Amino acid sequence: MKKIKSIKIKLFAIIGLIALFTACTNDMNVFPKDDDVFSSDKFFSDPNSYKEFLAKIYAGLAVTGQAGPAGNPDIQGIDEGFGQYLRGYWQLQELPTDEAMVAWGDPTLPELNTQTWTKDNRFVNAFYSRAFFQIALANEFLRETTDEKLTTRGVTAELKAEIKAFRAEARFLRALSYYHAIDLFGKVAFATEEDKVGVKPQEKDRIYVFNYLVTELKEMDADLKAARTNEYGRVDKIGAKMVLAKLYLNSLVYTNVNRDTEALATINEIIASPYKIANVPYSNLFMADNNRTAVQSEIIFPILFDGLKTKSWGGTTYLVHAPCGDWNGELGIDGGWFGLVGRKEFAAIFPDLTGAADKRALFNAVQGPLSIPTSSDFFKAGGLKVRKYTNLTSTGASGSNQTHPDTDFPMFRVADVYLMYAELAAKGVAGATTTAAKDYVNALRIRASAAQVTAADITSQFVLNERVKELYWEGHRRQDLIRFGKFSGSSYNWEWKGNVQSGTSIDDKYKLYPVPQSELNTNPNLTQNPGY
Amino acid sequence: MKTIYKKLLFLFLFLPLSVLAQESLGGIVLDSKTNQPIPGVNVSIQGTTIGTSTDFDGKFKLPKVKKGDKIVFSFIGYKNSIVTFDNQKEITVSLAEDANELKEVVVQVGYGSVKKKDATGSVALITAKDFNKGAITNTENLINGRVAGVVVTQGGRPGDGAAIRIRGGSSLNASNDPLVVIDGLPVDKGLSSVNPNDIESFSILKDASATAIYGSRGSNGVILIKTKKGTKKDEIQFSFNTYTAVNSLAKKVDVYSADEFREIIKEFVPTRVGLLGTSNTDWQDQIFHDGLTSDNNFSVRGNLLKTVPTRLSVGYTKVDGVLKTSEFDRKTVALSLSPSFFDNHLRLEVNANYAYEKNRYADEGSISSAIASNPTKPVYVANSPFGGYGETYTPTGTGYTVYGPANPLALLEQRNNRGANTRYYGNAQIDYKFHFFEDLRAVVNAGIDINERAGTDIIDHNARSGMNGLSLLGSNSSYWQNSENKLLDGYLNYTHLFGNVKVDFTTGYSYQNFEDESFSTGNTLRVDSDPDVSTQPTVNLQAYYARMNIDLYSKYLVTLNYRRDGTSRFSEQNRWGNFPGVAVAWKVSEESFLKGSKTINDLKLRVGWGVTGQQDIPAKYDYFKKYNVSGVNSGASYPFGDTYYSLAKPEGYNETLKWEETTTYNVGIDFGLFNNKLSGSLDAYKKITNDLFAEVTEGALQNFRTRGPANIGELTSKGIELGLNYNAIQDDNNKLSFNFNVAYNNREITSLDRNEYFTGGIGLDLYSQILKQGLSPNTFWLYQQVYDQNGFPIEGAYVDRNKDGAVDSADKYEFHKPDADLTMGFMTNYNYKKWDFSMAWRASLGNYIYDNVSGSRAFLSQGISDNNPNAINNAPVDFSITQFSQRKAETDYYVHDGSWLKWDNLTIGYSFDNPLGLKAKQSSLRLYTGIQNVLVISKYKGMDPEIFGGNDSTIYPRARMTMLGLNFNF
Repeated sequence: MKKIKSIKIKLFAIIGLIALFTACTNDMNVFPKDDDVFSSDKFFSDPNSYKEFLAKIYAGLAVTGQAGPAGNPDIQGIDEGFGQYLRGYWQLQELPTDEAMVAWGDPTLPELNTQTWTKDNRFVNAFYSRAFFQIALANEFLRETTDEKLTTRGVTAELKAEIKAFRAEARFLRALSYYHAIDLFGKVAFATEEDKVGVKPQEKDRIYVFNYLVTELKEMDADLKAARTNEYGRVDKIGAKMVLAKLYLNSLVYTNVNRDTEALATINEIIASPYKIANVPYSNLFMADNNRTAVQSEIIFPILFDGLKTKSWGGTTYLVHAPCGDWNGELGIDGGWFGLVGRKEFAAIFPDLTGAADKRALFNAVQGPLSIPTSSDFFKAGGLKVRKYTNLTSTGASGSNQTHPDTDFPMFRVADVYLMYAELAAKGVAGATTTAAKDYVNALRIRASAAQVTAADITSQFVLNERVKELYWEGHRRQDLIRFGKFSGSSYNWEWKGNVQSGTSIDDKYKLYPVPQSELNTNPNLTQNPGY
Repeated sequence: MKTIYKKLLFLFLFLPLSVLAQESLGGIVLDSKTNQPIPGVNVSIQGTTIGTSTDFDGKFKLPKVKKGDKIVFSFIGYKNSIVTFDNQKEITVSLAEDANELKEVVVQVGYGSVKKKDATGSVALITAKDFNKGAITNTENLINGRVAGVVVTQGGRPGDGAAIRIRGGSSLNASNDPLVVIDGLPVDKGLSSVNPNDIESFSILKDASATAIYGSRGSNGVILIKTKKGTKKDEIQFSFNTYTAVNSLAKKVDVYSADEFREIIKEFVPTRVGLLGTSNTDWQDQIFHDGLTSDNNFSVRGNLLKTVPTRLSVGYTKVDGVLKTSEFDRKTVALSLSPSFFDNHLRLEVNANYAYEKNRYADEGSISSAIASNPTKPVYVANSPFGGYGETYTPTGTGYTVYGPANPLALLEQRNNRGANTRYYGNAQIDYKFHFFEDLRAVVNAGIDINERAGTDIIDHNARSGMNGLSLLGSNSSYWQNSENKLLDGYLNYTHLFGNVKVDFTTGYSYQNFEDESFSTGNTLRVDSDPDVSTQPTVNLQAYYARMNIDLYSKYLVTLNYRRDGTSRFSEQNRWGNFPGVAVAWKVSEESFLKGSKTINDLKLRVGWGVTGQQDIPAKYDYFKKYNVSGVNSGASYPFGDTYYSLAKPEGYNETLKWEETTTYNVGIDFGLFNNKLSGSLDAYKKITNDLFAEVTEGALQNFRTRGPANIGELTSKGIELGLNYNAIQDDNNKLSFNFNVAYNNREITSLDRNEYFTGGIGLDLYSQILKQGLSPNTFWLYQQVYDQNGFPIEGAYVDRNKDGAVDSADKYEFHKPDADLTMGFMTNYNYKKWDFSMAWRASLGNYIYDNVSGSRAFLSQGISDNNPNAINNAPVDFSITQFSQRKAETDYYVHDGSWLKWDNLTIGYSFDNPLGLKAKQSSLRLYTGIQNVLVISKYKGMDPEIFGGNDSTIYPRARMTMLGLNFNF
């Protein structure tokens, strides 16, 4: 018996030891240990977290992930540079028009030049993913900053007040991306902060989203800061009005309902605001120091870039390098990408290409043939060499980095609003006069040392051309052509339109991009646009 | 040993002694190594029944001997010795130990071992005699091709580990690596720091009934490695092994010569003929060279203080790769102590290993660069601002605008990227057999694996690859990475014989914790360098397990396994998984109707079933929401006014992640026929993986990412494996054996919840492969190329397979797969007297390859005709067939049959007995020479058809090695 007892004791000792290990099961509850990663609770315990989260949503327009220019991407499965917001948006608004064409042969990229894209176009997919990533971030910001949550976390009254403005800005950024999405895709996947993460969203048509955006943009006005009182880079009341004005202006396209009257009212509010045409040379708007005060007065909403701190392979890195050939030394960058050119129809809108008659013609001094002989790999062979964006400052110094320019991108600026007014005046919308329009146009022309115009000159075609001269390569052209009825069909053809060198009619279906097939595969609630 | 002696002596007492001798022979039988007498040795006259045995002093007296009789001396564990009687009065006979027969063959099964003949699962044992011969610097290569269903893909980079796949792998997004356990310590940092000379055996568990004891980690098979240990013999044994090999490039990528390139440019890019130079440079000749491998190992085995069996081994390996500036240098020390106390009741085992590996990493971008570099340009240009290396550039201001690929040789020689890894790993095990209750053992095993890696990467100031914008800058960065893996295991084992029923029960607990922290400075020469410490989330794994082995009448074997596993990767709700396994075996050859059969010596039927789990996905904790805050100098911050803010991003997450489960069914036969001349195993299996981890596309507004892990779908693998050993000749002068194995494996995604995912990235958002229901994982998914009447592909012309009038992604189709249908290994060893000869072959059939070397280069726009009009690039000769003007990557044209037959190794050696000529001490010396990577037979035209994953995008080439070596034991 004694023997057995000692065995039992030993057995119990071992079993006890094993029981001790059980205490170790808590070791399986692991928490972030990296200095850059936080659990939700820990993250929001830092009062700075809210602004950093907001910065992420703004930065979503500029950078592609948590490391610049690349390395820790937000969007997986897409080349990080292709997935940059501005680059994606710009390509979809500019490449299928007379303003621009790209010489590279990256698979499916040439389809954008010739309006031959399919539901598998990877650049369409890249922008689609990016735009909705922005919306998802904004939704989450709104979910995490409800009064209830802020109170639970013991946020101070002062910070709460600040967060109120942050929330309005997050709503603005969400509205901006929804606006871009309905402009390009028509119907969209739709979710707000009311919807849960991990759920496949429903589809909403263009009219539904249009109405939602109008309501949103009006509602957020109360919480947005007054014009030009916010920090540079952050939106204010006028930025929201700008999107609203754009929606109204394009309402006929989006909803089949003319809302020119509402557009005019909103435009007038913007014109009346403290935002004014900058009294600087036109070219300064697109230089490495375009975040200076003088230019700031004109820029209603910019996307900011910096050669050291805000870097990506899209944005103005793309806009400075891609159109550059071997004159990179003159733009303050380390090399041209030999990609983007303008088409000859675009060149023809300018009185001359040297800038002598209109300083807005920011083109290379040396030009070859303007006609583009082949639909790809043509950079040396043809096309207008544009150098609107540069990494040099207005004093001729280089930006902080020769690969990634400091140049900001003016998404909305006052000149655009002036021309929107002129457009409505040319259409004879009640309350808009060609006399006033003439003054607005001349204000822009004086800055460009271009000839003055009279009220009689303010016609729709004139305004459309004037928009090209003032706003080319700023991401407006496709939307403008569609609004003026000149994108599809054959009322206006340009070289390589419809994949024919002389230009030919294209189907109306190309006024909308297809919903990427990969999206349809992952979400059965979504449907394809007609014709794709 | 002692007990065997006693038993044999016991038998000896019953042996009838013959006294009727016409003539008799006396003598003594000694152990050839120790010169100690051996009692109980059978001494008999061949062809008669006359015989006797040696006594306690090893002496014998054999009666009735006639001149010319052949006298056979035999004893278990020793090789037979035959002496012809020539009227000697007294003779002395030395018997040599037979290493193969001395011990009952034992296989490791995890938390214990079983006799191979009692194993119920599909377990392969590979010991020294089965190892690959020749220039082996990597432990994995010892078994490459030796086991059916185990595919080892070894890269060419010196010091690189190998990818091992057992039965093809069970998962998609989760790890497909088998669990590797060294002396009871599961390791996750590969085997590159393990000295192959220290390995005694590999036990490879292939089916779930065997691997279920490793539950969470057993889905892809388990490789249990046993290292060499000390001996209980008092004599000290020394062993010295060394070889030197010349590494040479076996094959180059076929690109245009300088003259051919001139013709190509004249014809296809006439506007750029001005960029042609007058040189004739073979850039691949510039970057590759003959390297040298030297491998040395010295070990001492003995019984320290007569109580502690000890082995100490030191190794030094140095490899100069075939790519210039690529070097690997490894020093290893392995110490093993295995004392036992209290009459073997308490056994200790300590394994302490140290490895110091130094690498100089060559810039492998130089291989791509060499393929594309303009062959009409010189390597060196006097006055080149880039350190004298020829580069394509134009001066721009005070700097330079550069074009085309960088000078491949400059990429190598102007960069000095060195790293060193110090690894300490080992374990201490206490195995206590209870006094007064010897059926019960308690085992506690504690282990640790620490890796400390550090390095610096310096690019010359005037190197093109170190430019900052237009200016020369260079680069100087450094990094470190520390990882630690801790293990604590404890189990109880109870063994008892109840009549004819033997029960062996094990139960225990396991705790393992993995931590990893790293630091990198970025380029410190830049103002925006961003030094950052990165701390990986801890991974913590714990488990309770139990196993019962039941042996009925030594004929029927039953194994029951159960393991409950927890992981820190999943939420508390989904944390624990339960993994059972059952196996039954019937030793048919023990039945009376077969017992004693000369034809069928061994026959065992096995049936097994088991469930294993998988949690090893790249995301270490994906189940809850986290925020990532970008660094101030990360290049991703955003200004409001003049202040830059870090970016805080909610990370995508999936609360519902849970265990992936693989159910395996296995049936097998182990057999030994014709006096065990032919032995082998035949297995058939089916594996079904449920709740498969896949990298799922998350569409708009579904999460804060576009891809993430999810438990979706089902993968089914089926296969048959056959392994054969044939000892064709076994006589004194000739020994010839063949080892052959063949495995058929077929994997199919049986469900993927209607999802499709593209894999096999071939650059810039292009994919060549797909994960899709009904297909083998990573099947090629491309457009069907249309060819002209002469058989040349028509650029951009694809078959409208769904006949909807448009060619779009709906027309892509499945076109072969990268997985092989059949893999085979073959080895033969032939010994003739003192000569030995060995060769090994491997084959892979039915595996296809996407030729991305051509697909990403052999076209005009942005290929041969660089995007920059100031540059032209060379390309693979495939361009002569396609003449594609643009990159057309998504065509099945680039998919080729990659089946191959490789002659891996040829070794010839010669042994000298006792070269030291000492009586007291036996010694042996073997000299050998051989070739590694002798021959590759394949229809595939690329550099090497043995490609992991199926996309051929320039790999570090596997060298052909010509070697000379010696083994010296004394």
